Amino acid sequence: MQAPSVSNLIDIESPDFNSQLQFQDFSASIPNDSSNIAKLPINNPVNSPSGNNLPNTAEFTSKSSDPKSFWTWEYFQQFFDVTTDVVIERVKASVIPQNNVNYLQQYIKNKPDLYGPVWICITLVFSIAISGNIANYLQATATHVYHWKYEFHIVTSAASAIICYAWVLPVVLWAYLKYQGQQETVPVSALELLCIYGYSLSIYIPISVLWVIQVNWLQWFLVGTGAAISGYILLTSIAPALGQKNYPLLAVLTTLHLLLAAGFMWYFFHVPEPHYSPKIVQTVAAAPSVSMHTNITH
Amino acid sequence: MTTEVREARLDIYPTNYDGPVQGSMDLPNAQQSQKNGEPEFNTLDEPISTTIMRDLKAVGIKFKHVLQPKEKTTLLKEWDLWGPLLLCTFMALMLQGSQDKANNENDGGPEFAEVFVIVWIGAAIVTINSKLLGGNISFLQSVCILGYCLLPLAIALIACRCLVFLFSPSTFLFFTSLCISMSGFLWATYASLLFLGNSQPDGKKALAVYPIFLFYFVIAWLVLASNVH
Repeated sequence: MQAPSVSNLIDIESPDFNSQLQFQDFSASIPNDSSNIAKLPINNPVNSPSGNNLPNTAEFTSKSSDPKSFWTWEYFQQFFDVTTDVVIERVKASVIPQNNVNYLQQYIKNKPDLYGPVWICITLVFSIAISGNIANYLQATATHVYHWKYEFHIVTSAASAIICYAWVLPVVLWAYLKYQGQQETVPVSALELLCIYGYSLSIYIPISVLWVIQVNWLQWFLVGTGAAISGYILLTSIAPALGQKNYPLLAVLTTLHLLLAAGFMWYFFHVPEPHYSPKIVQTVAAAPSVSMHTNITH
Repeated sequence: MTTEVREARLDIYPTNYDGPVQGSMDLPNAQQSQKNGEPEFNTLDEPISTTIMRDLKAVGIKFKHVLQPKEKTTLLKEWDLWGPLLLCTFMALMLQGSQDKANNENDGGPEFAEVFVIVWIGAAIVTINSKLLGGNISFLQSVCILGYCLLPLAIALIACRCLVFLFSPSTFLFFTSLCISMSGFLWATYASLLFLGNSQPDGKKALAVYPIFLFYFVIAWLVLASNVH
């Protein structure tokens, strides 16, 4: 009675044990796989599916033959398919213009990107907002009024001005060219116009930092420099594409361009007129105790 | 014959129970553990305080990882948005400009919702940017890390507020809060780069890093500017 029961036990246990062992192997292999999947994309991006997509998108943009669906990441990834070196080169060329070089033909034509325009615009919005506030602060301290308040909503107005200029205007210009030109092909694409307008604004980023210096002639000199450099890049790129007869259009574009440069200066960095400051100084000098008192209580 | 089978089953159970073999997950043991009412993986029966404390503890551990950024996996794998929500709400409360002064004067600070928008939309744009550049990290993982790395800036905000309450405005105070918010900014950028830095292809790392830099720089500016009077 004892011996058969033992054999019976072994008989029952051994298949069970085997199946459990198999099950354990199986269950152990699953976490390994999942951890590999979770780690691989983070640690080596080369093996990832999107890493493999990059050459494909490059092919598509160069051929521009196979349009992708609008609602996919890949559709937008082709506009962001740039490397650091390319972006640095484009920004450098837009800040330091060379003589007799068509910026569009030289740098943009083979592959317009949207990374540069997007981040140049966002950077410019915040650099103008921040340095506009610093300029305001310096003015306040120069008149010995410590009652300074920062104005956050400069961000909003700077953003709307810059978006109108760098995003709406190129699209409007492209649409105008398309419907007015009566040509089969528009000489410049909307993407190229967006790209040129975006990159042409990059000179204003260092200039907006320099606008903090409260010297009137220097500020206007910087306005002139910025408008000249970015206007040169815009006009050398766009003018050949517009053809001969479009001088009115060029004049409109130039006016808008100068308006933007001067508008930055007037609206965000305006130094008060010289005849205002003596008044403040006089009142402070006339009633120093009262003004000091009000300053402290505020 | 039946007695033999019973014996056999009784003999199998103890071996399953003791040994490291975890085949017990699949067969009748699972039912039995439910019958026994073991609360190990059952969160339905536990008191709500336990649930909240467990989540808070997880958030606290992640805060610690942000302050000592060495080990990446905790923040990357077990992401949540509770920490970012807490930090963002706190910063929005502290940064919002007061609208109801005695002379009904609006100081130019951002409103509560504007801080919220800057933090969440900003983190979303930075993440979309890195996805578009071909980075491989999930959307919410990246938002989680960007949100958690606001912690140094929140600490800088508290420190600056304390200084403003303690001392009268002066140039020295301005430079102190400048240093504090700048170190908060550097800390936040460093921590987030450590977590997110490897998710980009080689030639594009700087392109993905720059928006992160800008994001924290703008928030550091908000922290600084709200403390200068």
